[in-house]
Amino acid sequence: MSIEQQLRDKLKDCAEAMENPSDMQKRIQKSSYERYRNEKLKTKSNLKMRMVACALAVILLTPVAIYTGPAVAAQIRALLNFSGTEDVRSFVTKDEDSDYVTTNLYADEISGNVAAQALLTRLYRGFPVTKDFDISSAQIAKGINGGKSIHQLNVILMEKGKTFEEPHQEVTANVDVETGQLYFVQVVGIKPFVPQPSTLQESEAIAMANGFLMQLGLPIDGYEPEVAGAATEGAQSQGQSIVVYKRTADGKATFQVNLQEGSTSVAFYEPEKS
Amino acid sequence: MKDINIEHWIERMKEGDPSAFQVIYDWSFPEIYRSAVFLMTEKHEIEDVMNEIYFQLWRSIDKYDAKRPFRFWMHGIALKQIQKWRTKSWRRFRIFEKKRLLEVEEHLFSDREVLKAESHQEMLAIVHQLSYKLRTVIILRYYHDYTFDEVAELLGIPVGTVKSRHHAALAKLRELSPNSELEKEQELYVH
Repeated sequence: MSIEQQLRDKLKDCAEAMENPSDMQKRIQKSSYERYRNEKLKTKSNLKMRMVACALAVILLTPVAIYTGPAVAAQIRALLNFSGTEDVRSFVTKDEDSDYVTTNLYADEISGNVAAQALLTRLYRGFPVTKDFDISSAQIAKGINGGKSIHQLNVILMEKGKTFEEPHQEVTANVDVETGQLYFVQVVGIKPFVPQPSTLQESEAIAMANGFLMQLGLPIDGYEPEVAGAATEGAQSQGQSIVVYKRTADGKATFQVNLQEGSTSVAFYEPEKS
Repeated sequence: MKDINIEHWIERMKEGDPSAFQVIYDWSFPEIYRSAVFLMTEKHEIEDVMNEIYFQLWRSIDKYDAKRPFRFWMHGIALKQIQKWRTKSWRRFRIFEKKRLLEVEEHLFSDREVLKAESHQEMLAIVHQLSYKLRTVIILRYYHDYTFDEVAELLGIPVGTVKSRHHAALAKLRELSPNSELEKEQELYVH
């Protein structure tokens, strides 16, 4: 064996044998990040001070003018349904254990719907790019589905000017109209999304899932994230990674985040009725 | 060091995602810590230097050029901070504590907190007996697997200087480990 190889092996063995000082690791993480964050805040507040000064100067120098608001545009009463589908106001789905009516909403009905407004606020805050999106579909389903009583709102936001047939950015969300409880949110093509879910380390998958939930303003305190074990192999071979959140109190799986190539979604197992 | 999609996490960190900070930190810490243990002889100062390395790393991450390997960039920052610490400690060494530091240095890594096995302690002790300049070349070349050109770039010195330090370091290592396999190697110099 050459001296180079011997040295290489010995140094690597030596490095492997070093114990990772976990206490030190935690201390450095905390202090270095705090220092970094404080510095950022300081820079920002300096900038803010300058902006306030500029704004004040503008106010002082600009003659007072009164602007009247633009005339309220006439509301266009358009049905929000999938492009290319039939313009029907509502339709019934009926089978053995289901009987519910799906109603396509008008644009102005969205602004008067509390659950829809809360949902849109949540999505716009978490994914600001969606503020410019069109509501390409908004439906309320009410009745019995799979033996259970439902009253759900389903909204699809889509990149302006795009159709479902071409690659586009999209958000699909599903909430309970009465309680506002989220059932499902899927974000497609909006960053940050997972580049290659099958190659993600567990810590990366959990961090990405946590980040996604934070963007949606969903609390994760009191839940234990866990990369789905049994399904992992199958899931990974399909190019996705699943993180299941179990309630710390009783260990009950409550919701899961699916990380797929180009798309991330969260699905709640059982809606909790208040 | 496991491979992760570091560019992706850096992008997210730049966007202010704290979970990305966590991923990058957990991924990079063991390697940076080990480099510091190899390169620094004062164990009690490693934490301060590590703190400084990470603060500089977070500060500079906005300027990181994704076209270049992240590890190379990260090692550049670590080396710079270790070098800075050396300059400071050299000043202090000269002014205040020459005698005490000389006495302490030999025993700093004799405890078992850092290394588990006796033979690994010996290896570390041998590496620490090299001068800082020689040690840096050996660690970058054989622990981090950098080429001579890359070592030269990281240290900001000509390739010829790297090669001559490498040559001197190998000679010194043979001298320091008379009973080890390193000494049995017949091939004298490797470039």
